[in-house]
Amino acid sequence: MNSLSEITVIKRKVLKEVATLAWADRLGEIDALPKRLTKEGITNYRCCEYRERAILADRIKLALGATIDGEDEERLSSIAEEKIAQQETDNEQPLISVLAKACDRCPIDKMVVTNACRNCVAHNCRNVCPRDAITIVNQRAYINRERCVECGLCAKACRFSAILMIERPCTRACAVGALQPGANKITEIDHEKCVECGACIEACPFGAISERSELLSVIALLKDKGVSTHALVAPAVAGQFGPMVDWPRVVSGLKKLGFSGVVPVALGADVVGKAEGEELAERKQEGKILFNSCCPSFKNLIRQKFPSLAHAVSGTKSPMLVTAELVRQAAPTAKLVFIGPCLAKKGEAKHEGNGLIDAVLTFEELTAMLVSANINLAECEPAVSSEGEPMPSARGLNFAKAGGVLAAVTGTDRDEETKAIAVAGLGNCQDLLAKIARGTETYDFVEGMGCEGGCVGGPGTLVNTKAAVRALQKTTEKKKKGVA
Amino acid sequence: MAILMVSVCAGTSCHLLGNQAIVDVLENMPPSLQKQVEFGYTSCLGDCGEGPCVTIGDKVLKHASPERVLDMIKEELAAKK
Repeated sequence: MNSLSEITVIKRKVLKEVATLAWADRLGEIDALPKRLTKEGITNYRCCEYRERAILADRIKLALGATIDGEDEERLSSIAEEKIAQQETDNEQPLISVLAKACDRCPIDKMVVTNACRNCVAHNCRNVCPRDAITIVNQRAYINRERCVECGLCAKACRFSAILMIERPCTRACAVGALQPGANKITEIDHEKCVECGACIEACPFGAISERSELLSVIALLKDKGVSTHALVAPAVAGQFGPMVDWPRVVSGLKKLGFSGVVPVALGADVVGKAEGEELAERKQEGKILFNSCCPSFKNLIRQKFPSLAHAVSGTKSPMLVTAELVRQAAPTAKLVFIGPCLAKKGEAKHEGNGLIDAVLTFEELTAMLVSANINLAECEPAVSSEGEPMPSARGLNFAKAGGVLAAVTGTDRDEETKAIAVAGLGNCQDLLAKIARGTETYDFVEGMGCEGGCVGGPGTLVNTKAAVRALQKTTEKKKKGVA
Repeated sequence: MAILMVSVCAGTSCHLLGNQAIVDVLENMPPSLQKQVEFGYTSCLGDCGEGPCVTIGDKVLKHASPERVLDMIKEELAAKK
């Protein structure tokens, strides 16, 4: 996450309100929520309150775990009822949706001539255009849309920077080209191409793209005193809940919320680091390349765009699944909830989880749940770790940041012949994979991360990447000094 | 020169409602302000529903936004002089 916008705050308020009603078994009152929220001040963003409420209703549907493509007439309370009755989360439906009512239908013409055009004598724009698309009309350069191929050469050639190359923030953010203006110019997502990285959600300044939540099923699990539910918390947790909240406070807060056990996924990361290190040694002997298996967006990208490289992905399970197996061994009937910065983990849990993971929450969704249950982590009594409780190493924790997996897998004593590289950001991953597929670059090990900065830059985080990395460093330094 | 104390509520509710944006602004204040302001964290000011909350001098600002925090810091500094 980078900057925090009003949009993010609205989304969080909705999550909090929905969670509050769910805890109190008062979801029947949810039909009144959009109106209440606009009365409480969410009104300034659209043409009128009614549109704002319609958009809020869509946000509420997503928070309930429903999709927003269905009939508008269906009442929120009946959707909530259906969702509560439904035991399993409906995972076949798309995770990320466009809120059509919120989409501003940004212009789709990429090349735009501005007032700064002085109809100069040189006409560099016209001269450089490979398609003769530019003419001079009314003392100004004019671009013929039928001919323009949006190459951008005219924008570069203009000495006055009078031609802009603009793109919708959502389509620009999507490295795999899954977003395109569809009918009525509203953005549509091609779910065959989408790798569920969530970059578009953060990119849209109108908050018109959002994801479905599994809040309701987690609250139902926690309320059921007959089941024991364990939280598996991703290594990116460091610093996520603010400067006053360390790991022991997170543990105690989650237990207050109703989790029977709280397990750091960095424990699984330690196992994965070792296993992939051994795999690397084997593959090197065979002259084969190895990719990390922990980032689901990276794996989705390979599956969809570079199937010829699918063999390179490590056969080791991800830290989430390895940790889940560890917990299951000790508590065979426990329900497991993964909590992390990632949206794509929701897909990984359903496709590769074999039913091990019952639900996936982001840090953002968890925090909304904590606030709705009146739990302030900053004032929680730090949990005391019991004797012999396994603790993750700094290496395992560092899986959370770009380069951390590479460091763990190749090891500190790595021989200089190991050619390894770490890339973060889906676009960068794609560029590198293309070179590897073409054979123009060769490596022994590649760490690919869908999000800039690694998991700490994920869409479900609460603090900016810089602050998260700082907090992570603090934690790992403490580890190295031997302080718990 | 008297230093103005600013403390941002770091309770979970204010955190959810966006205290991060305020911390970002305080960390990146212009040098002229930085010299006169010292900021830290607190939890909690007791107005969880109305966060993010920030204490500036002896005043509590509810529903704080980065702009309102900066404006109030400037007002308080001007009043001190």
